Amino acid sequence: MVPKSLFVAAQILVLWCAGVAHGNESSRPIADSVIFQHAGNMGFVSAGLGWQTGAHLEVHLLAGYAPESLEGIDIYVAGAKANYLFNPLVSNEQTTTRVYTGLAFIYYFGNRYSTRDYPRGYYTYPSYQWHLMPYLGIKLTSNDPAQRGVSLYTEIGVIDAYLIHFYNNHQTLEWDQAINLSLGVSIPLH
Amino acid sequence: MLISSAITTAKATVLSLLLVGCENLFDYSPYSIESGSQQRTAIHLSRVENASLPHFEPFRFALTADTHAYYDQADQLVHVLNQRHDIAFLLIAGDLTDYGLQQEYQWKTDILDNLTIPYLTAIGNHDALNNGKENYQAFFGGFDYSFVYNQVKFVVLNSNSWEFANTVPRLDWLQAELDNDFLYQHQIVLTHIGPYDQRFTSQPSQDYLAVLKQYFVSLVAAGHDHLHTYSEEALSNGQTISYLTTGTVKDSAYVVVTVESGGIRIDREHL
Repeated sequence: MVPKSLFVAAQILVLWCAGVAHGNESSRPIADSVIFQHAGNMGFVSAGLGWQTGAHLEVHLLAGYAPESLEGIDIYVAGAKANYLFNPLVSNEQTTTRVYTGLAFIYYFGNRYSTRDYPRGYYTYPSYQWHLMPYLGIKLTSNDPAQRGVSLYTEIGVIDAYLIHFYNNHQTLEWDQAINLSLGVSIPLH
Repeated sequence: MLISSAITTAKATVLSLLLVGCENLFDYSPYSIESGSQQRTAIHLSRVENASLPHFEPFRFALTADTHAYYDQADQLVHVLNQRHDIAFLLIAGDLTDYGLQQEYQWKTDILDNLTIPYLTAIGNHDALNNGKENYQAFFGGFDYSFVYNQVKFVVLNSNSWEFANTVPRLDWLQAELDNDFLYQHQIVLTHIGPYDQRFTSQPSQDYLAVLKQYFVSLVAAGHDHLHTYSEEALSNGQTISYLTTGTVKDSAYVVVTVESGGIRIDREHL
């Protein structure tokens, strides 16, 4: 029940922030953007908030879900992503294109993913309930005033367990078996 | 010009990824459960039993364990075994995966399915982590089973007590399987965790051992410790029980077991 509650709470938070942004011009939204993402080990769909610090750093907090019909079991997940954005590759009247790299901290809800019932150190990282996932991304941000700076992004990443396997087994594992893709949209709240 | 080329290349790469096999690239979690039932255990049991003779005839089988994420070495083992023509089948004493992930099972079975001989597996403690039990059942089948080859009884036992909430090993089932020992030339138990492991505190370990010793078990073949060890124990009835810890494929080695009427010979061979 806790994972479902958290997931619903995250959705409400996103909607509330969006409401603040659109309904009251004088209120400052608690985040810079609303994020929706497909895949990337964050569930079939995830939603959350984004903050940007300076010209190069941004953080996304996401809550995601994948149904049993897709994964064989309901997946509830929460994650934090830290992105470092390189200087724009190109910027014109239509779009600004930026490449970035990042690291995701991903937590999967459910006792079956926990190792706390075993003696300490019996199962070690990355057997844990949380995982790390490095990735590379490319983001296209609209410069059209009518679209208010909406960004589309795609990321290519490798979750820690697969990365370790791939690193140790060059002869048998193919790179396309280890990587994953995600697609997302970032909607500014300002 | 350079930037323009870079963008074009990046876009082409992303589009290629999206278009070529894109469905498999969108992972929703590492914890998916394999859908359907691939029945490898049933398929390979059928192959083994079809090749079996109704009477005893000496034979050899190969044994490995703890293949974990050593995919390159597992692939090497498959190539070596495919070159041999004196091995009836391969037994794997558990821990085919590190975390019980569907992708790990897929990678490992992609390699093992290239074997020309049948292979049968025991579930290991790592195989049962996360959604590993469901994945093991989908890729292979049941956890406890038995078969007969050339009048030798093989019993495959799930001994991963902690990962199964101390409901295993099912000693009553083991006892029933070993009960008709007079019918067989030898009885061999394949399991992941042997009876002397630290996780079996004194009484369960004694019970586990008592069942193995009570019947005519020639060999208990286990994995788990990543070491190759072998010992024999003389029983009060004059028989001998052998304990083998197979060792891991990481050491680029495997075990060949030669089953003869007078006894069982263990040879460790390198890849």
